Amino acid sequence: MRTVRSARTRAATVALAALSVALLAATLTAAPLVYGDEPESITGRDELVIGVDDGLPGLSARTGDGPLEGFEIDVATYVAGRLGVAPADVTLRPLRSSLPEDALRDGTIDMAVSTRPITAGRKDRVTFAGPFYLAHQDVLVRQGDRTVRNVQDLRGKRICKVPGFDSWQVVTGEREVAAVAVPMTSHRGCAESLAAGRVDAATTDDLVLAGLAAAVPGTTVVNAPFTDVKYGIALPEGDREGCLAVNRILTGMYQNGAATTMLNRWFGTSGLDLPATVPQFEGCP
Amino acid sequence: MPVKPWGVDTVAGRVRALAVLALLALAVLVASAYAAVGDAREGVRTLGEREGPLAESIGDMYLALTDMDAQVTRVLLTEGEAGWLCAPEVAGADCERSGARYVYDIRREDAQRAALSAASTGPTDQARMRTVQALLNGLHDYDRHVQAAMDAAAGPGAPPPEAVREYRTATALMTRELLPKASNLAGEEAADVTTAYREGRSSVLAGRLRVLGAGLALVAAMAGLQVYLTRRFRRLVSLPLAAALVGALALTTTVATRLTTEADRLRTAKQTGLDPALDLTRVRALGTSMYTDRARQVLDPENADRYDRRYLDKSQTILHVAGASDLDGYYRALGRSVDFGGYFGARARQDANHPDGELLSAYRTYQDLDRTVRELAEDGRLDAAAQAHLDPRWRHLPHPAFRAYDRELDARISRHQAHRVHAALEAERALRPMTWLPPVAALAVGALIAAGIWPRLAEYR
Repeated sequence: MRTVRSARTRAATVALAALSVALLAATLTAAPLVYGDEPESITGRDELVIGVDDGLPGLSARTGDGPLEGFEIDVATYVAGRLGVAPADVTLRPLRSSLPEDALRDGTIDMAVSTRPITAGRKDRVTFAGPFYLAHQDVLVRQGDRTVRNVQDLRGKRICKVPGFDSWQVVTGEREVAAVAVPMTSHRGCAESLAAGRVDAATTDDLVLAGLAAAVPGTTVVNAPFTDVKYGIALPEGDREGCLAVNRILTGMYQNGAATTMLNRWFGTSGLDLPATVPQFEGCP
Repeated sequence: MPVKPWGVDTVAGRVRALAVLALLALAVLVASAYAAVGDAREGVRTLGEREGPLAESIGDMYLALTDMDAQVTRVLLTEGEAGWLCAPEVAGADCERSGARYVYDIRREDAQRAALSAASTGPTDQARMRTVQALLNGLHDYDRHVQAAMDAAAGPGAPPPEAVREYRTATALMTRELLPKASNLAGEEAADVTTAYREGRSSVLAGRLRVLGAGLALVAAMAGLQVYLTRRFRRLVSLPLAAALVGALALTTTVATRLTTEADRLRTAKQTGLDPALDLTRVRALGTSMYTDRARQVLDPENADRYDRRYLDKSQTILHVAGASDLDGYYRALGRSVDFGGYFGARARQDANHPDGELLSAYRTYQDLDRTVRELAEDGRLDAAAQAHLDPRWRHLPHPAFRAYDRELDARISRHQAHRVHAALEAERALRPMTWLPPVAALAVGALIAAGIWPRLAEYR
């Protein structure tokens, strides 16, 4: 009887003591793990896959079989570099028809530097750093054409209608300017038709137009901005740390003159007034 | 058998080992409580005294800048340049400086002070320093253009083209450079507070977890001691040990609940104090700025289209109506829309207990007024538009409909700021006994444990 009781006592005591030790050990090690979880961030990566546009001269386009070149590519490389990723470890992936938010969701890209603007709907699905550039819808005309000073002057003019872009609709629909929309297959084709006199004007974001103006001689940007279009850097949803880091990088990029250098390199001859100061950020979640 | 007084093969050794385990748990409990209370205090002061008010003042800088631009625009619109240019200290008493000029000067000082405080905070951040510098330089340029516009516009009649040109430069500088910089500084500061708050709150919660764990470990060790002593020495219950157990439980629950309350108060201060105060300050600035956009349209009809577009963008940011791509559509949708987004939409979804009925109806009334002004301006009746845009009795004041809307916002901002301050004060007060209570209680519990095992160990001497 006595031994049984003694054994039971010992077992109970040992169990309680072990429980106490285990609790103490768990307490000291586990607490920071429970409340210290930050979502994964693009900061601290060794390599990055960046989604970019394709076929937009000055922004992101190939010359012949060469690599993608343009302002977007410069920004992407700059940001990646400041995030500690060398150019050799950056993969540029043209987005083509896929949306940055879908590509980010299914993990084919880590971030997107593109002209797909920041919108309220998109902000629900991805986190936007930037904008890295505040674009405005503007008008491209033939050099020397003084009849178009602003969007209202497009009344009765032939403007391009490029599939996948609704900028012509902003003119004829929202602004109720009775312009004649002429279907074109691409922006470049539109600019060439413009230079050849088959249409009178092209209208879309100023940087796209500036790129065209630099690539197609005989065309120039009017400098009559009439909407704001925010070019953001899309990051996976909830990457707050990455968003803050990229915003700091963009602030520095405008402060140290790198942005001005890049803009001048690609759009210096386009006639567009280029900004020298950082745009207003959307803010991180 | 060799004597091993500290080993666990002797009865005394086992008793001692259990007691040491209990005391160790007690020490961990007190240390965790101490650290967590320190974290809580740090978090409370961050929100209550340091970064919290700083974020508010940097947020206000954005509003101050829009206020300045609003004053300039209204003075040019009402041809009040003489009162603006009057410098009583130079000209003697034969002119009177206008209220608008005083407001401008005061708000300029507010903006400058906030910019400087943004530069002096935290570790030396070169980029931030440069932003502040550029902001202050820009403010200086803005002053210069405003002065030039006022000089050119002085004299009877509507401002001449030269004045409008200077004004356009000034207001473009404001829109393209000063406001974005102020906004980015405010965003950065708000992000810093959010980071500090999240870290602070999670360390308080982690501290609570540690306190609970150590408390349970203490209880388990003491229960083990109790069981062992009861059986081994055939005593019923050791009274001091029982008291120590009760004390340990009380200490653990007190500290844990207090830390829970602290974490809740931190959240209150952040989520119902600072965050909405900052959001509404931004909304107020957007409101001032869009009200000014309409005045700009009258003053500078050449760029009417652009100002009108900005007006719509700001309206949509404040209260988003899906599918309204122009202002006519927006006004129409505003009258019947129940499903809306933007700042007001987010607010309505977050806080269903405090409906913003009055604020929303004030916003609608103001937009109704704007619709009238816009129609007049688009018909080219600029004088009538200016008349309708301003207070019918005191022309230097904004229209009562706008003032009512602005006042609703102001009242809410003050209320949220008060929430933040109140929650921080309460939290600070609740922390006061937590500096001495845990160590004193722990000493008592430790003494009781010692008192519980001392007589038993004495039997083995």
